[in-house]
Amino acid sequence: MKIALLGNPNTGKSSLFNLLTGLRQQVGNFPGVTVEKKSGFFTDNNQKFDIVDFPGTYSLDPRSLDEQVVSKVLSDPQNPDYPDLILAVVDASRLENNLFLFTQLYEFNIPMVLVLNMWDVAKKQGIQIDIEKLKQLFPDITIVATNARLGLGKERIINALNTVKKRNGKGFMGVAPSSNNAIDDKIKRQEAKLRKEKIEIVINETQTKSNKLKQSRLDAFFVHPLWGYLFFLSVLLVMFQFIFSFAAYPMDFIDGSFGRFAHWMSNILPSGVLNDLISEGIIPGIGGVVIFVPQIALLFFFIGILEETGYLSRVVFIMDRIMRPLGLNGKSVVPLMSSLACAIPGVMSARTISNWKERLITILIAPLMSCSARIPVYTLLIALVIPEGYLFGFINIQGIVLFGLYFLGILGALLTALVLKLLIRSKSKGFMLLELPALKPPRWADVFTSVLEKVKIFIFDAGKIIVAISIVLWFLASYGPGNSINNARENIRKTADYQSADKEEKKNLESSAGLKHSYIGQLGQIIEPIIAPLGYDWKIGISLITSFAAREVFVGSLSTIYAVQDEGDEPTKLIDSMRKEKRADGSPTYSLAAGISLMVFYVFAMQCMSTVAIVKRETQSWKWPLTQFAFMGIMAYAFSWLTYVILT
Amino acid sequence: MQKRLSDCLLGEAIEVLSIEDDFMATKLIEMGMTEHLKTKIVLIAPLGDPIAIDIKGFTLSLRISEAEKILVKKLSQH
Repeated sequence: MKIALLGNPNTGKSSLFNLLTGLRQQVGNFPGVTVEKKSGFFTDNNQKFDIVDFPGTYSLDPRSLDEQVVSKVLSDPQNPDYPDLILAVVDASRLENNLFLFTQLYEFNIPMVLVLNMWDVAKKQGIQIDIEKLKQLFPDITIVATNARLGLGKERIINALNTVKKRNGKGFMGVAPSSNNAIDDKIKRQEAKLRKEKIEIVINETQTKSNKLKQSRLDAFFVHPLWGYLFFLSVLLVMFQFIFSFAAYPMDFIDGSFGRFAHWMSNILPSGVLNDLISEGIIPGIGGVVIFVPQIALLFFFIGILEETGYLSRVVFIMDRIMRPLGLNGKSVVPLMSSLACAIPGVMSARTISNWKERLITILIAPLMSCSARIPVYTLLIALVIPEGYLFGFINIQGIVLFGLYFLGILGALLTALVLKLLIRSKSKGFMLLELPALKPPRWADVFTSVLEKVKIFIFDAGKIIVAISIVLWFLASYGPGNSINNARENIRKTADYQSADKEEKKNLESSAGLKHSYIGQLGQIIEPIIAPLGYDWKIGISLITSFAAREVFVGSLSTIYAVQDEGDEPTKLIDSMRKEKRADGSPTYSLAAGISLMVFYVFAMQCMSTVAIVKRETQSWKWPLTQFAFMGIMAYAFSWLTYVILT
Repeated sequence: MQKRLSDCLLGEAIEVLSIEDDFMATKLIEMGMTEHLKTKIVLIAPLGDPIAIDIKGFTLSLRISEAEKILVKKLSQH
C-alpha cells in the first residue's frame, strides 16, 4: 500500500515519519525539481506499507515548488507517487489553522486517515476537541490522536491503516482544489474565504476552548537588539569552533587510516597498473569523500538542534532585514559561516532555505568564503613572500595579510550575491510569510536521523562524482604521452645530482621528473602562456590543475615538483626551493607581486571538485556548478591579473 | 480608528479590517488570518522589520512591506 504523509509544517510530521519507518528510509528528489522526497517503508502482518513524506505546506494552491509537487501528485492517478491512502497530520493544539490543508486533502476521493498529533500539548493548553463530533462531520475517514514526539500512537495508526474506510465522494466544499494556476487571484481568495468560514463552523462545533498564545519569554531575548545578536553570534562561534577545530581529529584519523590501507593494499597486490589504480587512485579517492563526513555530521547535528527547537526561524526573523538587500535569506548566515570551515556542509545546509532563488544565491556564493583547505596554501605563500615584522610595533604584518584574504573572500561573496540577485530571475513573489513555531526541546532521534540522512546523501550522491574525478586526476598525473615518463626518469638518473643523492632524495627526484612529464605536466606547460600574465610559470600551472582535487594539494604538488619532502607541518625545505626559483631574466619567480596574485587566485577560484559535486547534487543540474566554476574562474583570473599588474 | 498594521505598536490590541493584495490575502487565509481576526503584534525585529503577530496560537512573521497592505482598527483594551 502506498501512503502519502501530508500536513502543515511544524506539525510533527517528520517525527511521525521517523516513528513509523525507523531508519528504513531514503532521501531523493521528486523528478525534475529540487524538492526533497523522503520515502520509507514499514511492515505489519506481512503487509508492506510504502510511505512518502511530502513537504509540509499550508495549502494545495500550487504557488511554491513544494505546493506544486503535492498538487501534481494528488491530481494525477497515473503518477508513480499517487497514494492509495492519505495520512494527514494536524497539530491538535492548532486545529483551526491546520484544517485548511486537511479539508483540501479531504476533497480528493482518496481513502484517508486523520492524525491529531501533539494531543498532549493541546490538552496542556486546555483545548478540548470533541473527536466523536469530528468523526460525525467526516464520517468516511478514520481519526486517531497521537503524540509522535513522545513516540506514542504508532499502534493506533497501524490499526487505522488496517481498517480503512471507503470514501463517500462528498468532500468538504464538494470541489477539488484546482491544480490550475491560471485562475484569477480574486476567485482564489473568494474560495479560500468560503472554505475558512466553513472551517470556523466546524471548530465551533468541535472545540470548546480557543487557543491563547503564550509567548515564551525566551522569544523576547532571542529577538532583542543586543542580546539576540550576541546570542546568535555565540551559537555560530560554538558551531564554527566544533566544525573547524574538533572535526580535525577524526579527519586526521580517516586520512591516516586510508593512507595505511592504500599502503597495505599496494604491498599485497602484485605490482602493476591495477595495483596503482587501487592504491593510488581508488582508495585515496574514497578517502577524499569520507574525510568530509565529520564536518558534515557535526554541522547537521547543530542545525538539527537549531531547527528542532524552532530557534532557526528566530534567526531568520532578526537577520532578514540585513540579508534581504543582498538577495539572501536570514537563514543564509548559517551556510555562509559554515563555509568558512568547508563549503561542502555549507552548501548542503542551504536546504533550510525554502525560497529557491535565495537558496541558489547562497549556494553559488558559499565557496567564495575562505575554507580551511585554503589555509595551507595561504600560509605557504605568506611565509614565502610577506616579510615577518610588525606594523606600529604590535600588528603582525603576515597576520594582516591573512585577515585581508578572508575579508576579500567575504566581500567577494557579498558583492557576487548582489550581482546574482539582479541576474537570476524568480517566479515567486517576494513574500515572506513565515511561521515562528513554538520553542521546544529537540527530539534527539529526529536530530540523529537528519545527520545520518545528510551523510548518506553526501557519500552516495556527491561521492560518486568525487571518486570519478580523483581517478581521472590520478591517471593524468601518473601517465604521460608515449614513453615520456620513463624517459624522463632515465634521464634524471644520469645526472650528477642524482648520483650523489641519498635514497630518499633519489625517490623525490624521480617523482618530480615523472610529474613534470605526465599529462598534467604537459597541461601545465600548455597553459603557461595563459597564466603568465598573472605572474605564474608552468610549475605553478601544474599545481593549479592538481589542486582541483582539493586546494591543499597545491602544497603537495609543489613539493613533488621541487623534489623536496618536509617533515611535519612546516614546509621549510619547500619554501627554500621556491625562494631560489628564478625566471628567465634572473628575477625571482615568487616575487611579492606573483605571490599575492597567487593568493588572490586561491581566494576566488573554484579549486575543489567536491564542491562542484555537491552543488550538482543540491541543484539537480550541471548548469549551476558549471556556471559557478566559470564565474569564480573569471573572478580569480581578473583579480589576480589586476593584483600582479598593480604590484609590478 | 483605521491604520496600517505596519504602524501598530507592540502588544496593541487590533482587529483586521481588510487586506489589499488578493494573492497575499489568499496566503494569509491559508495561514489563518482573515478579516475580523482579533490579534496583536507579539514581536518586532531589532531593525523594526519584520514583525510577528499572533493568529490563534500561531506566530506569523511578516515584513513591513506586507504589513503595509493590511488595514486594522485599534480595539479598546480591557
